[in-house]
Amino acid sequence: MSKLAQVFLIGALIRFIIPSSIPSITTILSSTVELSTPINSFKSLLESFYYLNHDINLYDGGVNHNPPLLVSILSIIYNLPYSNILFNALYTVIDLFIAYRLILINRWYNNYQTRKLGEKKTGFNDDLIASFYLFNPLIVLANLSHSTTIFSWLFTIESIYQIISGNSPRGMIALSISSYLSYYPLYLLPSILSLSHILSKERNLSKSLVFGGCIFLMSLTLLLMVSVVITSSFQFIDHCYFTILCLKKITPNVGLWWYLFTEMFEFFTPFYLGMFNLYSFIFIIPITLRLFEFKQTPKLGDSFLAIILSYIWISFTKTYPTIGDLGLALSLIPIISSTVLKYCKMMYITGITLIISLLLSPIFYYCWIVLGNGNSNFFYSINLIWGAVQVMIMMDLVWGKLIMDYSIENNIKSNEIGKLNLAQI
Amino acid sequence: MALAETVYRKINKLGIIPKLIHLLPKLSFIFAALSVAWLCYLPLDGNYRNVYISENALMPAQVTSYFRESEWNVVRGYREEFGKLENLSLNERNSMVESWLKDLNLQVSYHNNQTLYSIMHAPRGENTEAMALVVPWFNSDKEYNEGALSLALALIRYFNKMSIWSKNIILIFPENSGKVLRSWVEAYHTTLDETAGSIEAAIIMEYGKQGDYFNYYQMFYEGLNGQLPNLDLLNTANLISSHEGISKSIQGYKDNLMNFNTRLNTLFKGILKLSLTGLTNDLYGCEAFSGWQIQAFTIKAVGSAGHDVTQFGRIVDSTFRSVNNLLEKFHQSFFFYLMLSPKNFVSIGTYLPSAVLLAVSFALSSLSSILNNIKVEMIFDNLTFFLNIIAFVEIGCLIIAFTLPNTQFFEIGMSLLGVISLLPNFEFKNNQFSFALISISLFFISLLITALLIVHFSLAFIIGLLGFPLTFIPTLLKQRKVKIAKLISIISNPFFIIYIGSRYLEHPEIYSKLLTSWNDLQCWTWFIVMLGWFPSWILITISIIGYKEVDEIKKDI
Repeated sequence: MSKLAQVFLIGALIRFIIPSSIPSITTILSSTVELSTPINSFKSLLESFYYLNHDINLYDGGVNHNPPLLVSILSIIYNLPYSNILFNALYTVIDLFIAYRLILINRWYNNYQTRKLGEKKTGFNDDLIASFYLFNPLIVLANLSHSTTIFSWLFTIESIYQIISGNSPRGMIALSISSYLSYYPLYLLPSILSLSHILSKERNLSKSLVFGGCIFLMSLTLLLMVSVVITSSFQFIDHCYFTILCLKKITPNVGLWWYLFTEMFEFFTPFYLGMFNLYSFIFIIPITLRLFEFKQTPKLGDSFLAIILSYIWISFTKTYPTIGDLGLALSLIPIISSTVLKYCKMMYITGITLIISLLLSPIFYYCWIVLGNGNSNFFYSINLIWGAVQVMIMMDLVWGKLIMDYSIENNIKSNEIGKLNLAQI
Repeated sequence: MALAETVYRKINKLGIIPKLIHLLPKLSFIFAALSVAWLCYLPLDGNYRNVYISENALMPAQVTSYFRESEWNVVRGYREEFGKLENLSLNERNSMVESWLKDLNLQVSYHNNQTLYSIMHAPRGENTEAMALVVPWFNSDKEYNEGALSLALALIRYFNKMSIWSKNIILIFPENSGKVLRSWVEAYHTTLDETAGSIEAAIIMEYGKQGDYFNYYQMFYEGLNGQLPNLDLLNTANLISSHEGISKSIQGYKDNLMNFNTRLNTLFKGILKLSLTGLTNDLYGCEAFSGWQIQAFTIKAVGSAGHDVTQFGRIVDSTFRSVNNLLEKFHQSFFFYLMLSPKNFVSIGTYLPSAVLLAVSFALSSLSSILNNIKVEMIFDNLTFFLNIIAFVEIGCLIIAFTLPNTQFFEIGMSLLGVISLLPNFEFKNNQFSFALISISLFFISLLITALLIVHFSLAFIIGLLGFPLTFIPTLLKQRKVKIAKLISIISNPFFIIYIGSRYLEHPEIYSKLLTSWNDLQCWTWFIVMLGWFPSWILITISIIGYKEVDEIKKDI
């Protein structure tokens, strides 16, 4: 059996055998604050199946925050016999599919960079890329907790894949499904549009932006309209999107929002909601623009890196993040190993910070909630470190990209750049 | 950026980084020494703080307690009766107490047909909060707890007459302060039918057969798994007793003579005690309440002259009156502290650097083991090998941790493991493997200390200190002193250390308790040792065995 097949097999077994033989593991993990938020918890999805089967309005009681189409499609599985096992199988298949897409994206990226830069770029093997996704503990935990974010990941990755395989309309449709499922992938639109423009034969920027944007908007509208039709109300917009935008359910998670909005006087809440939302979107634009592959300097941009950076920025600033969000980013980063990653220099420090924050986060939560001898500051301090980890990763990637650009502009060979001791560009 | 750039260039120019890497073993030692020095520095004047009441609602010693000489006769009367019960069986004693409590119009319930408890419902409360007064039949010295039993009955009789209570009062008579009490507390939160709401505070009374008078009291407050009661509660009781003119002792040091030495000893005895709570036979009852957000302490009367027994009762009465004032749970003041005397303490912010330094020290020597001996890439090239061996050891330890029978054979076997494990003879492909494995293990210990840093400082500090000799091993191996490395490995076997330590501390039961304390008391020290400390030791020992003495050090690093 080839190495790749082994990786897929073991990855599948972990995801299928563990929750099938120990069903309580899903229940336990889906109650863990680091993995589950009111928006993506599997428990609330199960609750909404119950509502659906008993003809109760899906959004009564404010438990369900999943869009109606997701609930109704998944309820087909729920109503089959052995639905637990089937769900395990579904989550396994989705993860394997994402891993497979990542392999294809990795192959494309290295080919594309080789063509663009005119020198051979070889990244990681297929089996390594698959392992980085399938054996990433954060991804495994997110999968075992049956977080519904995974559906959104699926379509985000699928969207990137469709774009790079030259089918930008399909990519836009996939992205619109992804945004429909969890709102935040919407912010990936600028960087994905720019990638699609670079790869398409269309030379007119505004034309391809309008084309892609229209397809995105139309399919998103279609999805929303279908949802209105099947629920016969607009209630889901409030519960699926405004809850996310306005942090209507303030519960602890690994993000940066909840603590501030708990501590804040209510008087200030609208202002800071506006600021925070603006903040989480506005940085997407400069990231995309800076890394856009302009006609004059095609070698200097990297729209795929822009997607990764935007994604990390979103997982840093989103209202209800989980550790799985960073997990996906960490699985995407190995793809750029042949270009940007080898210029990064903070990886060890970031890695250790990541390990320590992952270690202390559940302990501090336990001190706060169970033992009662800690308080929310304990847990939030680790959230801040968690945020710092993401910022460090972004800084490192941007630094790596700048050094790489510098070496391309000045024709410095990659093995000589280390001797320069660059401290500033 | 200009400053950062200047610094960065300077560092490169002077070659500070290679020099630092070379110095890492020494730095690691200095950090560990600083860690201990930091703790020793705390008892100096100016480094510790005086205790104070943080929660205004408590208002300790602000009310006049009426539990005075008039109640003394009641106490005497009950003591006379309790004296007759000493040699009866538990059921007979319980039924006697039951009849007395029923005379006071109190309902009586049983847990497992053995632990009697009675709830005095608060006349003014909402029946959602409670305070617990625990009187074990036999105290921590295995002495018949006559004084405390009679005091408890007199107190509940006195409480029952007052209309000021807003929190229920639960009176509990366990056979002793050990497993029985722990199981009562657990049952109270899970299965018992008769409950009185969440317990805010619990006081365990110990007053043996010394009669009407006592000299001072000892206070015990260490909980399981590094938990401590809120400092406000201890301060409340201590402040009240100060108003009564009663002196008290913590860790065996009385408050009337305090100097650097007593503070230092109190500090270190406190750390040792906290890390051994639940592992020795000394159970005072306060640890039974750990994990349920209940603040608990034990007071034990010592001596037979000086203050009268009602003064002891007034400490309880007045403390309950203070707790009764609370509108919220205990949340002010400190949950993480180290006492230096009944009147002085250091809070977490002050003592934490000590454990952080220790964790850093392990991390530095882990770094040193890699940077001074091998190429970092080598670890990634052989990642599968390392992951396999670590997973194998860790899973092995996990299996042992859960299945191990409690036998005497085990005790000696595990200690001898240090010697036996160095007998087999195998060699790694090259010596880099040894250094890499040692580095991973030391990093693992560093993470273990970091994880325990807040939640169980004492255990983190003690494991760090006892495991510290392991950090010398990479340097010794590099200098080809393999025999000394082996010796260090033998004496730093966790079980060997625990064996010697338990004999030295005259608590030989630590060993067997370590195994049983999870089931009896939910004390997780066993798992920390078995899944954190021991696997690291095994990995380091494996790397010493696999080290080739004749191998030439490759100079290409």
